[in-house]
Amino acid sequence: MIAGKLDQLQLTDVTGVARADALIAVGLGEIRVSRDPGAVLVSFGLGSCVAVSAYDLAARVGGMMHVVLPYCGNKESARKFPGKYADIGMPMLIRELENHGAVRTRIQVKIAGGASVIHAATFDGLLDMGQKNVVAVRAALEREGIPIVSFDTGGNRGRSVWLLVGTGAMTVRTASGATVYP
Amino acid sequence: MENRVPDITLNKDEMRLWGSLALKGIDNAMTGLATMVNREIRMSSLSLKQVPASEAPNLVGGADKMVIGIYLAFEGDATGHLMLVHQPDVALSIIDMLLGNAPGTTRDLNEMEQSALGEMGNIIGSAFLNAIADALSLRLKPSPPEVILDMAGAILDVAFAEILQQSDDVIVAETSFGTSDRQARGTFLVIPSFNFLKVILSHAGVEK
Repeated sequence: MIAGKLDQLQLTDVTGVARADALIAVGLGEIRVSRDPGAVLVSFGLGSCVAVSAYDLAARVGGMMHVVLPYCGNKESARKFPGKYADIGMPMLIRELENHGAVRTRIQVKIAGGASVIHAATFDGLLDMGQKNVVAVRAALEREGIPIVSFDTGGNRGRSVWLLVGTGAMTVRTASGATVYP
Repeated sequence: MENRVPDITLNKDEMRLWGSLALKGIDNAMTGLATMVNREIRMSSLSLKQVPASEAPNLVGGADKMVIGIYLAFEGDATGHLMLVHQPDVALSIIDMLLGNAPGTTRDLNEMEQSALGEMGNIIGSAFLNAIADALSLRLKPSPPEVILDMAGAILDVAFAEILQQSDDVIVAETSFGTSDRQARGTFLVIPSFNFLKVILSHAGVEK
């Protein structure tokens, strides 16, 4: 059960996209935006992190943010790296989409991640980091007035998340399979 | 003002100090492992890295790579995270070795298999922490080990999240090790928190 099947699910299986140059990896704390309808934004191996996939279908613009922490705690240094934090990253993600031609009222969001993969790390502050991230992402979106149309959050399994810029579809893959949120 | 969180960037002397402490701990950990499995353990590399957050998951061969991770957190005078990372098939072969089975016997990761790996994590983690605690007269206590089959990045997220609260970079000591017959091999990661680095540097007389 363990060794054989795990690495068999390839990108083409879950997204139907084969163009290698179309793949844009979004690392921890990064915000990436694209208006290439063939592009696919992807965050690999999310545990407590949350991938926020935002898009404006009419403008064919999509963006992804890989949130690591819920709040920046007003640290001046945090401003240099906003995508790390749900609270200050969200306005930045929306602004980036607008800079690429998106219209705020048309932006929709899908979120995935925020799992609790590890239970041993029960220090204060690290406890339920995944859930804290999800709560902070939801709060930030509410402040921006942007709706969440799909979510795949919580649980205890890691996820990889793809956003197809051309269609706004989000694909979430875990060790046991893939789910498409069209 | 500052362009980066300033405190975390270790200068050469501090990196050397952190490196010599890490090596002391890892050496003790590998000795513990060798005693446990009654075989010679070889360390093929030890590297100390400071990498930007976005690149951190590449340390383990890709964030979405399926691995079996044996994870321990530690607390006390400082906090941090320890993890043994194995390819799933190698972890199964380690279980055979630990349980005294013929190679190829173990095919699944059930309770007994998990607890065998967890025990190995205990030995390695305690030996690592003891060496550092003794060297600096600190109190460091490991959590119970957790054995997880999942994507490497997903297992490491919480460890990265702790240090990224106060830094834009992740600091990692990474060791590759194995038995001479290669039946057991893996990677041992130490991911200190910001406070751990401060504590060890101040105890060793390098004030930040």
